[in-house]
Amino acid sequence: MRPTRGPTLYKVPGSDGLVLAVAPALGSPSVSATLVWRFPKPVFCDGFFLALRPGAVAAATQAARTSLVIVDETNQPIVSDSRGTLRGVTNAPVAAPLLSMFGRAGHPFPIQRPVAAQDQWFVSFQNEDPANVVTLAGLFLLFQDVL
Amino acid sequence: MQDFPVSVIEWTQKQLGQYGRLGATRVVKVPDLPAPIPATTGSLAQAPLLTWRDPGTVISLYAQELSGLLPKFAQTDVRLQFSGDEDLITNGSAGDFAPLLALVGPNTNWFPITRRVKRGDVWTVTYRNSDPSGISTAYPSMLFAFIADADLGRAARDMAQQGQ
Repeated sequence: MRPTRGPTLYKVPGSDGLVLAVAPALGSPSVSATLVWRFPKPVFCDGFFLALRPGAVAAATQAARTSLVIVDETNQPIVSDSRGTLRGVTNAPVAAPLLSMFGRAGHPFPIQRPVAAQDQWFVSFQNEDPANVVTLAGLFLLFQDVL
Repeated sequence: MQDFPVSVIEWTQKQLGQYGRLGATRVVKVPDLPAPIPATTGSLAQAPLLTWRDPGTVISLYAQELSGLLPKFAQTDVRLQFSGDEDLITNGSAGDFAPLLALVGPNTNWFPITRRVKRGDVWTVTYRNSDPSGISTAYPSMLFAFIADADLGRAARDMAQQGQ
């Protein structure tokens, strides 16, 4: 599977305008519903980023307190803490904070994932801010077409 | 060392040209601290151990402090110990701390490292609250971009099957 043209940015349906509720407490984030992304054709996914709408706190603070969970087509988390990845043991997903992954400028996080048509990824979001909601502007996946 | 098809090498070079680094196949997060580091200046907190379960290559480090503010990045230090009594940061005679801001500054959110890991390797991350006021807790976290050997092997097989 060879990347030959791109990238194209795909926005995960349901991610634009999604509002994450206030966290019950620091260290106890609110968790969004899970969105399902189905790849329309074989592609090479080489990055992703999540954009936020401006909020009541500094953008960097908002990004530091908002996290993302992605599970791939094999039901394995793209982000894990390496606990439980031994064969036969469920590999629990963990949430990755946006500020770590995308920085203050919102750079795409580079990955390398060839995927087949109809493969599905599952994404959810967390807000760790106990005082402010977060509104998403979209989760974007960068694809290279496979011709 | 495994030989990869030319297309894999071309694609790797493209990634380096496009991003200045390689893409990860997985992201591995250091298990979170159970609570913020106490406010007392110099307080230490060791994260739960990171035990590598799959062989592969770590290509970069990402980190943050929960406030997202640059002063907190400058006042929160980190020490990373690899398996085998080796540190990422050393003063020449022992492992040492560096501020988050020195590793992941305002313009670049990642720090390049290249480390092979094998199953069972254990990395230890220790944070230090160096806020001189002594009144502010710190809640740092860290991630690693990781290329699992198994994932790269799969990509190579995919390309080979398609005759590329």
